[in-house]
Amino acid sequence: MKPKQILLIDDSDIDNFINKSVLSKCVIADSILIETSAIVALQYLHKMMDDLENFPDIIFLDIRMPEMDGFEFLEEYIKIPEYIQQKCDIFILSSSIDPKDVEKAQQYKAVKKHLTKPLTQDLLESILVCV
Amino acid sequence: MNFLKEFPVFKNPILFGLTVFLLTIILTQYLTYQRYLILKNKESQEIISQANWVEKEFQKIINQSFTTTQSLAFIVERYGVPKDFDSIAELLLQTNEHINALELVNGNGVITHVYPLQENEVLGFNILTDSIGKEGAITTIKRKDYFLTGPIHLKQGGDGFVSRIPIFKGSTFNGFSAAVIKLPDFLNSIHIDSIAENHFSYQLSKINSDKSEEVFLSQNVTNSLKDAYNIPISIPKGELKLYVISNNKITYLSVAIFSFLGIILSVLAGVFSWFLLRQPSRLDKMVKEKTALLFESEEKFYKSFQSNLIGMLIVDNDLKIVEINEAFAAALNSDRKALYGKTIVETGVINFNTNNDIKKREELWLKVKERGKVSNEEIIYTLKNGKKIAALLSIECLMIKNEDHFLISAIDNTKKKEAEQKLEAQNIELKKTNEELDRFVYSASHELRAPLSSILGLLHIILSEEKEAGLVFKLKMMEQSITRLDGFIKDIVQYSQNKHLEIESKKINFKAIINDSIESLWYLQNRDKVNIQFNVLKEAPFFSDRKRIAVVFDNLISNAIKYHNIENNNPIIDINIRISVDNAYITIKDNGVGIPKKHLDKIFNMFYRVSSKIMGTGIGLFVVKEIITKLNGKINIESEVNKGTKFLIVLPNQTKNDDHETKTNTIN
Repeated sequence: MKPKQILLIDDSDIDNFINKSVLSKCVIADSILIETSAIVALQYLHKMMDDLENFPDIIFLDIRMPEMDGFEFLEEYIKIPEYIQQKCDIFILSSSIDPKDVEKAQQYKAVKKHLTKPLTQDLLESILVCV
Repeated sequence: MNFLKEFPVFKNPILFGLTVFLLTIILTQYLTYQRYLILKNKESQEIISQANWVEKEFQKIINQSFTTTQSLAFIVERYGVPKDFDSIAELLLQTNEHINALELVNGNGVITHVYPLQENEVLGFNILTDSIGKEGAITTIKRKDYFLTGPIHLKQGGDGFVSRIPIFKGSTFNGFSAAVIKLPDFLNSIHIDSIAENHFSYQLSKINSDKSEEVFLSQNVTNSLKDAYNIPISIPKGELKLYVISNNKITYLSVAIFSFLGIILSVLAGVFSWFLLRQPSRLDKMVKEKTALLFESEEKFYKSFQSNLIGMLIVDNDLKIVEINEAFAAALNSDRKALYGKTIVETGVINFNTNNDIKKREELWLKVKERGKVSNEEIIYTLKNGKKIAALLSIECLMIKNEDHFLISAIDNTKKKEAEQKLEAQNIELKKTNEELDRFVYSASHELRAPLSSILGLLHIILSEEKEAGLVFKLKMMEQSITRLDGFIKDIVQYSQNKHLEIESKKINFKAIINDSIESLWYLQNRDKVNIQFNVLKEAPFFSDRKRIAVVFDNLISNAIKYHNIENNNPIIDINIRISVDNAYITIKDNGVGIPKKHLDKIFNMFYRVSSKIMGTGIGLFVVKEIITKLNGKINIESEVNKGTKFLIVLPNQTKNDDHETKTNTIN
């Protein structure tokens, strides 16, 4: 399996710590980048458009964040050219169990799946099969 | 005609009829009497003239008999009895045709000469010794003058008159000259035997010396002389009376008929007058009755029109107000009397300036013209004072005096409208509150879950690194507690969701729902050890609320996993779904630990838990029951300890045309 560039977008440092710990145990994770702001993450992605080699393969996206939430981020993300989007899988990783959030997330083609926190070894393994 | 009614007689038809009858009968009977008098007079005139005529004729005969006997007596006195008596007598008879025979009688009363002898064979007969003839002869001698005897029974046969003149020689009676007039000839000569004379009857009587009358002839006399109208003719030098009697009984009959017709005419006139006068009084009575009815009906109409709580208005074809009731005037905030004869626009009580009003009014009139009426049309008009009034308007065509009119009824709808608007506002407010509550529940649940999931994540990391058995045991207990709290938050969210979210009917894919459910339960202990199998038999597409059905499956499958008997050889969950046009029949069956019978009727209660060994909140099945009730379905449970549990669910198929039911549920 090809090593993956992984981007975590979450305002919670604790969750980022947990997620990073779980992910680092996963062999395929090549590099893990953490952004606590969706705006900064978006800027990063725009920058990476010139360097497609290092464009993230997987993004874990939280929904409830200050300044720019997960869905606002997705609205911007879908403006990125289609061929670049195809290179990347987005997983919603949120503590929200609101079915409206799940439904909304599923409307975006770029979103692979809606996951409920916490991220665990088992959960990670089950999703990475489909990547 | 009215002035006639001043007299009481014209008020009473019977009295009037009686009066007319009496007047007519008096008039006709008077006329009858006059006619009777005229007839009577005419008759008496006729009878007098007849009597005169008869008397004249009679006198003529007497004159002839006088002349002949006088002539013969003169000759005898002067010249003695003539030798040529026969020739002289013949000569006298030729000139006096009414005389039948002439006789000479000597001083002894013996008839000496007779002419003609034929039929008068009385020569030598002594008249002074004859019982019949004697009386007349003696009377003649005593009178010493002409005397007519008769009628008597003649010696020569038959009846007749004998006129005599005594002949005296000096002062000594020396015989008679006599003329005989036979009765048939006498009657013939005065024409009283003629048939043409049947208008009259005659009676000839001889007056005896004792003044009694001996009837000789009574021709056509039916009535007695007393009853009949008669005129007696007396001969001065004779002893007879001739009665002329009128036969004109028909006159009295005609008078009687006339009188009778008069009575009939009077009766008819009386009845006719009665009927004629009764007619107007009958009509009068009928008109009075009808007028009373009309008045009553008008009174009823007017009262019900005026006191009606519904505003009512009658306008003519030019939309001018003919009648308006208090309720309508009050709704227009105007005086009722000031509105008559004007159109609503002219009265200016309503402000028709807004385009909306004009359009609505035009639509309404178009409808009235098309259908003849409109009912309960909602309309909002603005009063002069700016107040807006909502009304329900009904318009109906009405014919008054053969002209089109319109009856407009209006119910003030303002309060209802206000209530509706208030209700609508409250509904919106309620919806907003619900949405806010939902948002709060989700935000709160998120804020609660976020730290919990962080703790769980950290626990997982520690557990994956930590090998010290005592610590791992405690950490596992921590993990369980946090998972239970997390589950509780999920249940609360689901409960809240079922309570507040409207039912969204969508096509249901049971396979996808079950797969999602199984997948989301990855975290449950022993999940991998339980064999979950399902079968969907689809006869028709099924419509219901996807999210709620997903919650039902989440809860029931997670229960089936949690309460499984791990020691069992083949732990299995068997899900069977059959969809028909009307319902979905779902059974979820496991071969787990089962539920003791005493718990079965409380299993769907809130916070009811069967076992404390297995992690649970006591809300799962309560939410399931709530959801199924909300979807108009049914749920049943069959269970046996150590054998397994079976849930049986029936959910109605909420096809598109079941929108109404869906909405009802939402309100519930």
